[in-house]
Amino acid sequence: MTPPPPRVDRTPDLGAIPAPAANPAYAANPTIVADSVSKFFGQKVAVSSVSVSFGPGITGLLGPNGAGKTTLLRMLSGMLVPSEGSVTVLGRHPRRDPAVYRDVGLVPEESSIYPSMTGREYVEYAATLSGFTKPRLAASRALHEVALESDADRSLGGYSKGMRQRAKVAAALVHEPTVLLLDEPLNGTDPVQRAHLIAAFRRLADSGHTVIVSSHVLQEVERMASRVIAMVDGRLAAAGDIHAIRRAMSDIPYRVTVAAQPARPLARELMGEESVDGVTIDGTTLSIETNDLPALGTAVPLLAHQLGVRVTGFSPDDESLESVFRYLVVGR
Amino acid sequence: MTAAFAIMRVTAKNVLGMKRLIGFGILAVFPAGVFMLLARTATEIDRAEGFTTMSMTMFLAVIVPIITIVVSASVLGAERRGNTLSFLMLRPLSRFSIAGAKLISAIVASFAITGVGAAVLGFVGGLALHDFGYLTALLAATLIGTAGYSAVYMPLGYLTERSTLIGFVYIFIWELAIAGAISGLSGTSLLRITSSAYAGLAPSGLDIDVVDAMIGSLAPGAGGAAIKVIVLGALSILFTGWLLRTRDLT
Repeated sequence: MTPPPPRVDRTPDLGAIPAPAANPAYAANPTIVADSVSKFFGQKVAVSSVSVSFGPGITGLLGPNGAGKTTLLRMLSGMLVPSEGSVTVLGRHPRRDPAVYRDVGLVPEESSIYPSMTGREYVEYAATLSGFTKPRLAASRALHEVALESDADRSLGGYSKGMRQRAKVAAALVHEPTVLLLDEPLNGTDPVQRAHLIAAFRRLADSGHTVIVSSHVLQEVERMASRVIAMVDGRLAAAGDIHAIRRAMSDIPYRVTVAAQPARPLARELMGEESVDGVTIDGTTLSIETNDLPALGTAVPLLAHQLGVRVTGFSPDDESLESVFRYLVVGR
Repeated sequence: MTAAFAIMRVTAKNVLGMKRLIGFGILAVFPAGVFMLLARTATEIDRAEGFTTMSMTMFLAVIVPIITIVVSASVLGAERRGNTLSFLMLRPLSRFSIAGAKLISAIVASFAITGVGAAVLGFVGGLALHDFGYLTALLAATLIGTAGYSAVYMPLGYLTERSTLIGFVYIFIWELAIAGAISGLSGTSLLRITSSAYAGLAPSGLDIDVVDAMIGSLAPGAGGAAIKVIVLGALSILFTGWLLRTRDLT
């Protein structure tokens, strides 16, 4: 058995001055910039010197529990004051200039509802606080966006978790913000509601809004986000397009599953290939570790043809967000 | 509807739940009930003494502070502990205008209860003493006291969950014991300030010994008391606005 590779720490060396184009931690047209932000709670370091920026489109903010993603999101929104470093949203400091909240919406992870209000009153209150003179109209639009209109006149206290979540999203969308910060926005929602919300977030992203989604549900982030920021232990672990991140992990072999009949002769021949690090056989399934995915992709059909082996499947196991995330977090 | 008015409306509704309204409502009219029982058999002089005691040492000294402290400590404290602070704060509103709206909510919500208690006690006192000047004096003093305690306990309720406990310690240890024993501290006591306003506005039939004991070294007069409370309110808004601007909103 090969020992697990060491934890991958891909914290980019960003320096103090953002360099938008080259560094994957920086967006090309940033709307939110965090410059060397840290947050300490007493002796605990929740976020440590993170420099990152976000631009139009959906960015997934990933990390295990305690990674610091909620703390980072709260600093980006102005809820928390960074212990070190600074955050600007649309060029302004949210703590010094509340006017920036005309363009910012937040869906916090915690409940943040008034149970005695109806869904409509809640969203109308959000619209009024955001300066709308006709909050009812704006609230109806936002409630329609999250498919909550039919239940809008019920008390929030009687809502299911998924309905509360949608009410929070409606309250965050009601003033049509340019920047939308979402902390676990799909918590408690059923598959239909989830698909509906993801479609809404995508529409916003497609129309040029900046959407940041913090989530631990990797499959959903993968469906939504074109770019991911991964955090581990309060530090930036990786940033950029998910496939690019995986490709950058050259010290970790790819895993590929090949279905072949018969499997054993193909496995024996593959062991002689320079691109192959290891092969295990389970019936007609080969699990191959490779350091060169394209070379393996060429070798497998060639050898199969020479050996008369029928190959019925070839799938890289770990180009998914989940596997990349697993490498980043637990190093295997 | 403006944002500030919406904050006031929602806050007042949230802090005045039905249970709280009923419980505090009964507490607020309790001195009036006690005085009615007492006034049935008492002489005119005893009624005056009894009314002074009920209005100053029970209503203004204990009931108004208790109700106001609990209500005003929850106007921001409940938002913080109920996780709705981000909903309120991440809006294009000045932190000071939010603090101002919250303070007015605290005063209005508290006075909705204490004012009823003052009106009922002042009315029965006016009937017993044949002068409804007590009613207006008690209402005005109650408003001053309610505003003063709200100004102190709104920011304290935001800072700590123990604000109500601190408030009770303040009432029973500081106001009633220490500031009562040392007359030089009267100027720092919200109770003495409130009582001086009441003594300055009420007709002359109040029991002078009780009045002297309650106002300490302060001179009777509503003007000075009102100015002190207005200054306290302004400082409260500035301090709370500063807190909301500089501290973490969780």
